[in-house]
Amino acid sequence: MTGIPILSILVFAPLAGALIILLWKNADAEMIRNVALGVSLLVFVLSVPLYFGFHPQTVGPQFIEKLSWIPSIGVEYFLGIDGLSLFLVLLTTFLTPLCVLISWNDIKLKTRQFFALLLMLETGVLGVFVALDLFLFYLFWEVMLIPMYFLIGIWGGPNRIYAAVKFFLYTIVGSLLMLVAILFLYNFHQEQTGVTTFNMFQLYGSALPAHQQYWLFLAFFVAFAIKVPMFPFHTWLPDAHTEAPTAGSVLLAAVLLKMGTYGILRLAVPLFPDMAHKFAPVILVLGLIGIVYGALVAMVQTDIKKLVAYSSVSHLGFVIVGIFVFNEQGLHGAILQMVNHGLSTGALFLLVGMIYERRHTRLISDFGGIAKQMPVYFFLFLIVLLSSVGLPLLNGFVGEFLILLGGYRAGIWIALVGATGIIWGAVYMLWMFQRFMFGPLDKEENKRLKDLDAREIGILVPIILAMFWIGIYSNSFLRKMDVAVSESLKSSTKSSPVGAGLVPARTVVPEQGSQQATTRVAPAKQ
Amino acid sequence: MNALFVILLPSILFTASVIVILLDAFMRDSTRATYSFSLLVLAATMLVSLCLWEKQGTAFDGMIVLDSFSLVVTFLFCLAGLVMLLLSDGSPQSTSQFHCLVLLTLVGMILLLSGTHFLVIFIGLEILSLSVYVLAAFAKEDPLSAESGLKYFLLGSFASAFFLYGTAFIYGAAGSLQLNVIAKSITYPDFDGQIFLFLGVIFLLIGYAFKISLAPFHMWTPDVYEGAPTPVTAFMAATVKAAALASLLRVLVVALPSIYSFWSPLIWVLAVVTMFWGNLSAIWQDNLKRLLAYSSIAHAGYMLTGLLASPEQAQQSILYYFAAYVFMNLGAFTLVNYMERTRGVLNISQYQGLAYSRPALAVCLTLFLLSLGGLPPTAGFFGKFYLFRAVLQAGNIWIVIFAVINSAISFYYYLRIVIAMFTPEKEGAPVAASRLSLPLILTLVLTVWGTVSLGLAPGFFLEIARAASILH
Repeated sequence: MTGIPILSILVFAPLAGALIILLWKNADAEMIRNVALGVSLLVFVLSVPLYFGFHPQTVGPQFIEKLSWIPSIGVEYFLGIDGLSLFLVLLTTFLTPLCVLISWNDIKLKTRQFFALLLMLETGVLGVFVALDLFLFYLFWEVMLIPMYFLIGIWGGPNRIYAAVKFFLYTIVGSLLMLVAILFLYNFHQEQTGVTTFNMFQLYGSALPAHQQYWLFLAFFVAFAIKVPMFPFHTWLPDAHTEAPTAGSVLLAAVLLKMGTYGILRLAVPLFPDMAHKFAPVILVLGLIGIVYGALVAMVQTDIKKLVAYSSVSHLGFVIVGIFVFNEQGLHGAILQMVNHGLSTGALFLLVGMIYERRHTRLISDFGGIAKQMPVYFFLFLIVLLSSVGLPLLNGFVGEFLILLGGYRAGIWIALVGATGIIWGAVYMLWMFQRFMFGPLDKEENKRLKDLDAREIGILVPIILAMFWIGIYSNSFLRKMDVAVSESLKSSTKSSPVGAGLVPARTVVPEQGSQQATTRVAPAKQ
Repeated sequence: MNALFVILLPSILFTASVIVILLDAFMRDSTRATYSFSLLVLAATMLVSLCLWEKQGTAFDGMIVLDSFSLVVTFLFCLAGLVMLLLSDGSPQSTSQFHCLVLLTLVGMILLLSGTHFLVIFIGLEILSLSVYVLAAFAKEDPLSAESGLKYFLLGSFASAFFLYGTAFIYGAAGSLQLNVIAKSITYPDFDGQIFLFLGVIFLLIGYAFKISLAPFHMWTPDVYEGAPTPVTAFMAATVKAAALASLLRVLVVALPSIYSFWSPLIWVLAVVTMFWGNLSAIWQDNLKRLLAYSSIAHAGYMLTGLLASPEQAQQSILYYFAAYVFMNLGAFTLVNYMERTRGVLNISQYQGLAYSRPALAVCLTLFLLSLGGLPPTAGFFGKFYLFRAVLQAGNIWIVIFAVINSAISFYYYLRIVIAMFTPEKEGAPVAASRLSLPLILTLVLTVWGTVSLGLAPGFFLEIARAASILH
C-alpha cells in the first residue's frame, strides 16, 4: 500500500469543497456550481484507483488508515475498505457529480447552501462506508442526517418539513437504540478481555450470552432496517422521496438506503451470527412481504416519484433476502443488487426530475404520448426501465437472478415468492410506462415539451453504460467481492462465536474460502 | 495543614464582591469600573484555579475541601459567570449591585460544592440562593421578573427548609454533620437509626431536587427562567443546578455510599420522571426561554442518571457532561439574548428567516441545538456517550434506554427552532442587520469552540475529567 491516505482524502475532500463554497463570498451561482462539480469529479477520479488497486484476493480491509484518536476509551481513526464497501464507495463518488449536474438549473434558491450540503452529505456517506471503528462509524452515520435533513427541509416539495422531520426522527430513534447496543457491546468486551476498543474486527469475536445477543442484534438490526427501509419500517421513505429535490432523492435512494444494508452486512450479522440465523426466517418473510407489498403499492400510485419510491421498498426486499439466505449466490447477488438498485433507481429519479423540471407535475395522468414528443427521453427511459425490471444483459438481471438462485437453495418458497416480485415489478413499471409514454398526445402543455439537452443526456449515459457493464461483464464486479463474501459467510456460519478470536487483516489464498462456501449447505434451509 | 489555599478561591471572590460594593458606594458612575473589575477578578480566579490544580487539602477541621473535582467545576462556573457578565453588558440591569451579586453567587457555589460538612453546604446553598433570588428579580420595572424572583424565593425557602430538616434527621441518626464521619458511622444493614437516616436522606433529596429542578419539584423553573433577565437565566441554567448536583454527588459518594441500594432507586425514579417531564413539556413551548428551561430540566435528568454509575465513573462522566452542557447551553442563551435585545423577540416563529438575514448566527444556534440534542460530532454527543457508557457499565440498562428515547424526543423540539430559522421569511419583514458587538462575538467564539472541541477532540478534557477526583 502506498503511504497516501487515499480514503481520508476521499472522505474529507467534499467537506473541504463545501467549506470553500460556503466561505467564498464573491462567488456567483455559476462559480459555485463549477466548484461543486469540480470537487465531486475530483473525488470520483481519486476513487477510481481504489477499483484497480483493490486486491481481490486479500482477506480483510485494504487501504487501511489507523490513527489513535481518543486513546483513553479506545477510539481509533480506522478506515479501510473491503469487497463489501468498495462498490458502495464507488457508487457514491460516481453519482455525486451527476447529482450536481442534475441540480444545475433546478436549484435557483440558495445555490450556495445547496451545493455545500450536497458535498457534506457525500462526506458523511463515504465516512460510513469506510469507517471500521464502531465509534467513527456511528459518528458518520448520524452526521449524515444533518445535510439530508436540510436538503429535504429547505429545497423539498410543499410537504417538506413533515417529511424532513419524519426522516430525521425515524432514523435517530433507531440509531440511538443502536448506540445503547454499541455501548453495551463495548463494555462487555472490556470486561471479558480487558481491552477497550471500538475496532469492529475485534468486537466480532465477543462471546455474549444468548439472551443479550438477542436484544443487541435486534437493536442493531432495527436501526439498519429503518434505514433500508425494510417492511414494516418503511413509512418514512415515500414521504422523504416525494418531497426531496431530485438530487436528494437520487442520493437517498442510491446511497443512503444502502447504508442500512451495508450496516447489516458489516455489523448486525458478523457481530451476532447466531442471532442472525435465529431471526433469519422472520427476516426472510418480512423481506418477501416487502418485495410483494412494495410492488403492489407501487402499482396503484398516481405520482411517478412515489411509484419509484415504493419500487425501492420492493428492490431492497431482494437485498435483505439475499443477505439472509446465507449462501454465496445470495450474498453476491445482494451486494450486486445494492449497486444495481443505486444505478437504476437513481436513474429513474433523475428521469422523473427531468420531466418535473419541465412540467412541474409528476402525476402519471398528466402525461401521455411523450414518446413522440421526446424520443431521446423515451429511449433512455426505456433502457433504465428495463434495467429496473431485470432484463438480461442489463444489470438488474444479474443481481436478482443470483438472489433467486440463493433463495432457491435455501428454500424453494423463497425463490417462488421472490420471482412473483419480479413479475409484479415488470407489471407496475410497464403499466406506468405505457400510460406515461404512449397513447395520444392530448395535453396542450405536453406538446411543447422539449427533448433532453446535452447536459441531461450526459448525466444519463454514464449510468446506462455502467448498467450494461454490470449486465454483460458482471464478473469484473463479482470477482472483487469473492473474498469478502466468503469471509462474511465464514464468520456468520460459525455455530458459536466463542473462541473465534480476532479477525485481523491477513493475506491468504482465497480458494479454500470460496470452495467451502459453495459446498456448504445453506443454513437457513428448514 | 496550610488551610489558606483551600479557601483561596472563595476568598478572592468574596473580597472582590466587597470591593465592588465599596466602589458602588463611594464612586460616581461606578458601573464601568465594577464591570471591568468583575471580569478581571473572574479571569484571575480561573487562573488561580489552574495554578492550584495539583493541590488538594481540607480546612477548618475538614469542613471545606479543595480537590481537583471542585477546581474543575469552579473553573467552569467562573467561565459561566464571565459569559453572563459579557451578555448583560449594555443592558439596564448591568449595575454595580448586579456585578456584586454575581460574584457572591459564585462564592456560594464554591462553598456549596466544596463543603464537606452539612453546615458549610447549607451556608453555601443559602448564599447562592439569596443572591440568585435577587438576580432573578433584577429587571425591576418588569413585573414578570419581580414575580419570578418572589416565586423563586418562596419555593426556594421551602426547599431549604426540607434540606435543613433532612440534615437534622441525618445528624440524629449518624451523630455528625461531617460527611466522612457520617460514612463511618453508618453500618448498613444493621443500623440503629436506620429509619431516621432514610427519612433524612429523603428530605435531603427533596431539598436538592428543588435546587437541581428535578421533576416533580421543578414547577418553579419555567416561570422563573422566563421572568428573569436572559443573562441571569443563562447563568442559572448553566450553573445553579450544576452546583447543587455537584454537592449532591459529593454527599452521596462521600457520606452515603453504603446505602447505595436505598438511594439509587430514588435517583432512578427522579431521573426518569425528570427526563420525560422536561422533554414532553418542552415540545409544547413556543417561548424560547421556557423551551430552554424545560430542556435544562431534561438535561438535569440526564446528568442525574450519572449518579447510578460507579462513584469514580459517575464523577468523571457527570463532569464531562457538565462541561459540554455549560458551553452549549450558554451558547444557545447567548443567541436568545441577542435576539431578545436586538429584535425583542422570544417566540420560535419569530426566528423565521434568521438563517438568511444572519446566516452565521443561525449556523451557531443550529450547532448548539443539535449539540443539546446530542448529535455527533458535538460536545453534547460525546457527553451523552460517555455518561451512558458509565451508567451502562454499572448495569443500568433501562435507564439508558429511557434516556436515549428522551434524546430522540428532544430532537423534535430542537428541530422546530432549526426549521423556523431556515424557513424563508415572508416578504415585507426586513430586519436591518446591526453590527455584532464584541462581547457577543467573544462569547460565541468561546462557546462554539467548546462545543466543537469537546465533541471532536474529547481526549484532552477527558484526561482532566479522569484526573479530577473527589477527596474523601
